[in-house]
Amino acid sequence: MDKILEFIKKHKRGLILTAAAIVLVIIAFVGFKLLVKVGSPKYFYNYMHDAGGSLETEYYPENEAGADVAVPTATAATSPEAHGIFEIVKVSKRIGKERGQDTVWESSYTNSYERPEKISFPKEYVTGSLNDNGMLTFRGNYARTKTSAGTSKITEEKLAKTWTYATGKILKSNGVDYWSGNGWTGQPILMKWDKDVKMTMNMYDSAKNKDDLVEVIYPGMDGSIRFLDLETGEETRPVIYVGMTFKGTASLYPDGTPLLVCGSGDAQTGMYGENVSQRFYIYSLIDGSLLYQGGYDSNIAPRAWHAYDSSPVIDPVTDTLIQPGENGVIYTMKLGTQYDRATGELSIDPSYIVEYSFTIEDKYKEGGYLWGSECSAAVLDGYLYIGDNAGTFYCLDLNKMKMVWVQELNEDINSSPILDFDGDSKYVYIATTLKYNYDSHSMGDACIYKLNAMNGEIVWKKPYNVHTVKGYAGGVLSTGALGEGEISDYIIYSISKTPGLEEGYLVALNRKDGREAWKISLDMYSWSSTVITYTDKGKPYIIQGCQNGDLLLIDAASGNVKNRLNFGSAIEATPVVYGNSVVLATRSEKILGVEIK
Amino acid sequence: MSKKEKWLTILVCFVLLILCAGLGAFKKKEVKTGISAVSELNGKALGGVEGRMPGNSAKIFFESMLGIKLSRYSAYKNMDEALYALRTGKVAAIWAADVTVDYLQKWNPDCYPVDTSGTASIMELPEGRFDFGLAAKNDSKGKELVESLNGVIEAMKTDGTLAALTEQYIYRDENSDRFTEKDMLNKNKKNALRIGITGATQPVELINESGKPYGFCVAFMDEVGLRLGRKVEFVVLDNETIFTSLMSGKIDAVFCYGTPGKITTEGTRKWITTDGYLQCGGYKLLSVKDE
Repeated sequence: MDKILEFIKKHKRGLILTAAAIVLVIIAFVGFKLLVKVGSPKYFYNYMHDAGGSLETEYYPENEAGADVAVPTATAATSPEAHGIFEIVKVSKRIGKERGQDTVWESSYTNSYERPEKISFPKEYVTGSLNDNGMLTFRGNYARTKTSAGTSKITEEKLAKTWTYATGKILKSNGVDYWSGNGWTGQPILMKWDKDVKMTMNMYDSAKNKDDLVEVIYPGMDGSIRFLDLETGEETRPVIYVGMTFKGTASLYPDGTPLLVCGSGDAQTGMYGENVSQRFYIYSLIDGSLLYQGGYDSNIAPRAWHAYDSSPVIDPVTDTLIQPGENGVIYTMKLGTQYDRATGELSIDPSYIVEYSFTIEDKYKEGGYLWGSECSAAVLDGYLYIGDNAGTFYCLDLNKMKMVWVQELNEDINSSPILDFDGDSKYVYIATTLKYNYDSHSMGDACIYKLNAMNGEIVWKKPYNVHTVKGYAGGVLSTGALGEGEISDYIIYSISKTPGLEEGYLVALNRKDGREAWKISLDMYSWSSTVITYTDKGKPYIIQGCQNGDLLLIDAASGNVKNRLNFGSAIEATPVVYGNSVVLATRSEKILGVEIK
Repeated sequence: MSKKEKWLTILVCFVLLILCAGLGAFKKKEVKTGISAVSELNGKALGGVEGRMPGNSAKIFFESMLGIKLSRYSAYKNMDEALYALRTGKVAAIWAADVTVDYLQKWNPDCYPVDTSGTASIMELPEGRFDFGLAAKNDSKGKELVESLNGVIEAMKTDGTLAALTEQYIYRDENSDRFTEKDMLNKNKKNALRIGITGATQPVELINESGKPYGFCVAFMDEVGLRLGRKVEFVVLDNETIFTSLMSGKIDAVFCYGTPGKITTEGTRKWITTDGYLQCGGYKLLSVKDE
């Protein structure tokens, strides 16, 4: 002991300096790790301080009036005129020669458009399952309410991984980083093809001969469209290499015609510095051939960014595709579909395209409030409901291509609208991401809204105080899930980056007044949309993916977490459930099969 | 065997050994790795002239375009080096713009284009992948230059001059049309326009054995110089330094660059491009015949 003390005394200065150096190295290391975690020193504050979290609901029951009318009509506050909306409609008709020959288009611009063949989506159609054979679009239907197919037999309340399939990555438009695996919104499509249809397809024999085959159709961030067996994860047919990233969710033609529509989410920079614009694609699932690519050079697009994350809507009656774009244009296109089921011959011949865009002078601009929609649209009767990057949520008359009502929410809308019905009354839920109105500490409010779908007035508003970080926004990026049966009073949402920078909530809100019925704190926030599955007795369970790779099985009535599996990498894409099978994907280049036990 | 006979035997064997070595009997046979389809590129190396993209990014780019996994991507200073790498088996194929592959195939009979059917849909664009145009620095001087060049390019398109030059110097099957600086009709001596070229995108820009430009780039700029009333000077650079030279003002424009089309990424660029003078349909691959 004396020797130790003598040593310390002798080398006092050296020891102090050494200790100080060690402390500094530790601080630098921790600081560096923190910097990597938060991305910028300006977010150190956010890492150390919580956001306000759940705030008081604002409920305006008087705005429920008029929700039961048959035709949407604006109020004084929600009229497009009151908001300075300026609209453009461009009509393009093919005046070229016969089908298949050189295409020549004639375009005109109009203020008073009337669609010759009226589009109409009846309530029973948009709230049903579109097609009993699978999940053919984002959230299963065009009201965006069907998050699972079939019922699940759940006895053990456990999740078990069943298969893994490796995907890949593709270069981002910055030419340096890459998009990997599958991400937001990225829900897989499921389809159980009829046997006669399968026989005409380019499927492998094993897939053709499997009678109960449910095919997973999954465009991914790696620029490929993959086709897998839901049960085994094995490929059912060759991969389609498209070469542009897919972030959103594709749509299949709702009546079972093997047409797939999907849109790319990022431009492509090439070896000569060129920039290839995003576009939407139409593929034949008979032979995997590309039938059409378009939407890459609209001259009425107010924005150069031509991404298509929005899941397309297809009206099979008028054979019309409706594709919202992030360039600020909504495309409607008469497809000219011809399909011979017996022979498998499939073709399209677009002949009539109507494009719509709008702006608000002095509001929209590059670098400010941005045009364009990333969320998917909901449709009902002849009307489309959608929000954009500037927080403008509106109802569009598809047969006049004219805005009916508008509600400016002034925050980015990434969450897709959800239609809700209460008797004859029609409502729509929408939620925002914190992008514009944050304070000096990068915190602010993101909200979930219930609007009167007939006039756009706010029925209730549920705010959450959240953090927001450039590139990883806080607020609501997922799409909510409407409950049925014993949870029919609820709508369930995940909220990101609150109260902690990396935390989140999963909340069940009362549909009537927006108040919280239950709330779960998530270890890590979630951009993945909530999925609800039901047992044959109607007991509801939630499947929730999180950014830390957690997949949660939750009792939807109580909010109790029953089981958790971790996949090691962000589950940003939205899973899909078919019976007891879950298909999900991670950013670490994997598609996975999970069984609910 | 006597001692003398032993030494004689050793000497004869030694001479035979030298002869065999000289005739290449022991030379390791070079295995060409020519491919005929994109799928054969799986697990092999792809090469090309240095572009604007880092090597690792280029590897990911081509893997996703071609739907394959490469063992390696190699970037070369110029097309001659890339062709050498192809011929010596260092890479199984090289990529280039379609106009370049078509040109190389004509003048290198051992090379052939690889069938790229079945690759990513993005390889077949209805609108062409990009145009070749000139690039200038994104400042007031550069903007003024681009504006004046655009005016000239438009006029050359309208009056058929551009089509004629393209036909003669890019698509015509004659290598004897060596339009050099000496052949230029533009005798303007003032206000020199310094144009950077690399020779990477043949036959759009060609450089002869003496390191001088010839062909389309010279004929095109001759016409541009005449119309603008400016002297034209060519500065031969390599891909690594050409943009630094542009940014530092050593040259006024890069002759051959991909026009970015609509700017789809947010933010401004450090350079701007003119309208295109030649459309590029897309990328093609070139491989070499096995011996």
